[in-house]
Amino acid sequence: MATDDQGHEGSDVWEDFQQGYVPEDNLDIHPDLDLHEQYTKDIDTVTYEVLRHRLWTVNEEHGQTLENVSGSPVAYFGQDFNPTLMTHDGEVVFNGPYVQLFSPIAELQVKWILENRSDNPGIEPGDIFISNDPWVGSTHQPDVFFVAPIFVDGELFCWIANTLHQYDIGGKSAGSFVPGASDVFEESTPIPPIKAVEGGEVRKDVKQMYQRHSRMPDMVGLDFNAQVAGLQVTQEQIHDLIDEYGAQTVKGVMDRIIEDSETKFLEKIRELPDGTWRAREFMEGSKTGDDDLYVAELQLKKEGDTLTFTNEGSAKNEGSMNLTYAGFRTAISCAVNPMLLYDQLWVTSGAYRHIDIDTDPGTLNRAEYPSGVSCGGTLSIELSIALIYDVMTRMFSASDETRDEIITDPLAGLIVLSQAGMDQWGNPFGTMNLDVMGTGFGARTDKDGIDVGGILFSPKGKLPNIENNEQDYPMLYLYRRESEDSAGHGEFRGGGGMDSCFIPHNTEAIQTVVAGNGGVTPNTRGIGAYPGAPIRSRTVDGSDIEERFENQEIPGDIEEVDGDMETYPPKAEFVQGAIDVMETRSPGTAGYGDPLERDPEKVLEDLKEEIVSEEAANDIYGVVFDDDDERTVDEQATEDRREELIETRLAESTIPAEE
Amino acid sequence: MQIQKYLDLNEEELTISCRKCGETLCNADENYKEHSAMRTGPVTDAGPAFEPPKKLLGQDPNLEFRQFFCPSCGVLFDHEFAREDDPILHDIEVDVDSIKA
Repeated sequence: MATDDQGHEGSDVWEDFQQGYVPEDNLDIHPDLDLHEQYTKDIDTVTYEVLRHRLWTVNEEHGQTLENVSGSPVAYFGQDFNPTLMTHDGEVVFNGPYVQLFSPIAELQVKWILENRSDNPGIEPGDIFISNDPWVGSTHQPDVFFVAPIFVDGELFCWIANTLHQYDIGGKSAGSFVPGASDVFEESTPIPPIKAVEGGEVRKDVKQMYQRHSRMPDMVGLDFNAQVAGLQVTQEQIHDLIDEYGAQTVKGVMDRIIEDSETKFLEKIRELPDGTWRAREFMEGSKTGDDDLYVAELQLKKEGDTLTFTNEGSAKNEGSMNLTYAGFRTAISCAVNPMLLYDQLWVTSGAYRHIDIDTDPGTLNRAEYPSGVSCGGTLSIELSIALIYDVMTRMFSASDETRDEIITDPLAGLIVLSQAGMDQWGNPFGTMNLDVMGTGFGARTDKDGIDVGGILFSPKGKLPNIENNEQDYPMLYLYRRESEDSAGHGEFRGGGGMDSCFIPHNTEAIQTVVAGNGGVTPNTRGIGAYPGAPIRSRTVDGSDIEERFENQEIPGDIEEVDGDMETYPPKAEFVQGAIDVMETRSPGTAGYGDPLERDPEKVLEDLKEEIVSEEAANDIYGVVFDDDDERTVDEQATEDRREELIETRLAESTIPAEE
Repeated sequence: MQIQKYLDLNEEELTISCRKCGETLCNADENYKEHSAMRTGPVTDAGPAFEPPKKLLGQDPNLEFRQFFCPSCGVLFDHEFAREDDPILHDIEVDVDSIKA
């Protein structure tokens, strides 16, 4: 660790790169950097609300600029980006409404830049830093952060940042998910924060170095321009606000936004008793070809106003499945935002003031360098979010003030499908299939989840139309449908997942990489109910699909197609040949409450909508239908069947404490 | 005090009981699941959409699906997936001392 002549050391950079950057409460910032720390508390309510929503709008427009300038489907369909507005010392003022987990993590980027770039090369007006280092503050390497300071009268006033998932940023697999990686050296090389724009001028050397990482430098170059444009538009808008209201007032509003979030968070958790809540889930395979099961454990201890997360019992980091400290930290926001701070415009920084993370380094949910982390931003983070939901929803169950806020865990699994090859025009293509967005949305304490409701932490994330995918890629869809029996059964059932079925079109083959988790057991379990269905990918190889097309027949179910059916493990690589039919299933979410307490009429409705099968209706819900054309509920037979199921439950059980 | 959809914690007697039928299960500092009726079965018991783990992984990781019911009224308290040797997860542990205080 270097010490300069003014006593500035920064953080221990090489320890950060090894274990993950954990900022101290007091940052070590070079004294030559002047911070704008003054603000006024004398702000009337109307001015506060006007400015609060102006700041929100400025931040959201930041995201719209990204979307408009970027040419990437990941941006305009997947909305796989987010803008962030932060104070001078990196506390988040506003998350954008896109992939929200990109925002709390931007805080780590800013704090690291303040500690380690404030002396050399320095932080100046018009600068932009880029970074995708998961050990500093990224979920995985494809999520690239562009971070800019805003100065007022020579003082650092605030920070803005945006994060955009890149099409390809290098590594041995196209798309930069490398589920087969043994360590980070097989993945894209992490870039710690470096200055890419200096005094408003793009550094060509840095931009070329960055583009040189990618198989698709033109696309990455377009996104580079989009990310710079987003920041520069936002810089102008923040300066306009300061000119209109004054720096002290704008800063005062920022401070109050965070204080309000802290107050709301404390009001809610103070209703809860102290205690410890625990969760355990599994990761299937650390990398492609690995068929072992890895355990992930989480403990949440509430003591007064403090929540502490530990991960005692979690497996060691191996393969490509791992998540760094930064990823785990930001995952917490995915539970706090929608369940506790929705009325605070999702401002989580007030909550983070009362959250401690004491996880063990060298584990799958706190990975040490050089373990593989390229799948961390999709698989381990989703597993961590599920664990966090598991413990937090159980904690929220212990108070009337928080119980109704429960949403059963939204991410039962994730199936990331990377496809590459030659497209229908003879050009190379590569993509992450965004059918992944078609996951179920969790149940509430008084209502069902939403079928194919989308990914909870990405409120504006869209599922592309089939026609969009067919236009952009050499694919022909046979169907998409809500997946039967994928919704977790319960008094209030979870949201069901989605089946997608397609074949290659006007191409010989599609190279396919499945990077998934939650395929054997889902990662979520709801409360007092059944889990949602796991992810699934399967093909019928050498199918008779061409003959069916000649007969003007489009199958409505992959099981109708003749050929060799193969069901894949959650992590797999294979080639989908020209007549191989492939189907993927996005997961459903868990339910809330005992399915034997569900209104039988709702079960009938689900049966008619093909959300629930007759088998599940009878064996899990205990609902019996009259054998007539109208399919009505037989009330007496249902009552009898439910009594029979309860007797069976008890007859087949033992009491562990008495064993 | 309600601590879960189907569980109450009696703050005077410091016990956990079923909210459906009132059956007392255990002391408040114990794992209620150890005192529930536990049914253990294969992963496929979780519903028709579940596949045998061996079909997906090529080996059997000895996973099981555990359900915990009220030993009196049979309501479903909760479930967990676990390997055969995994202890029953103590997922809800309210700090009894903080309640007394």
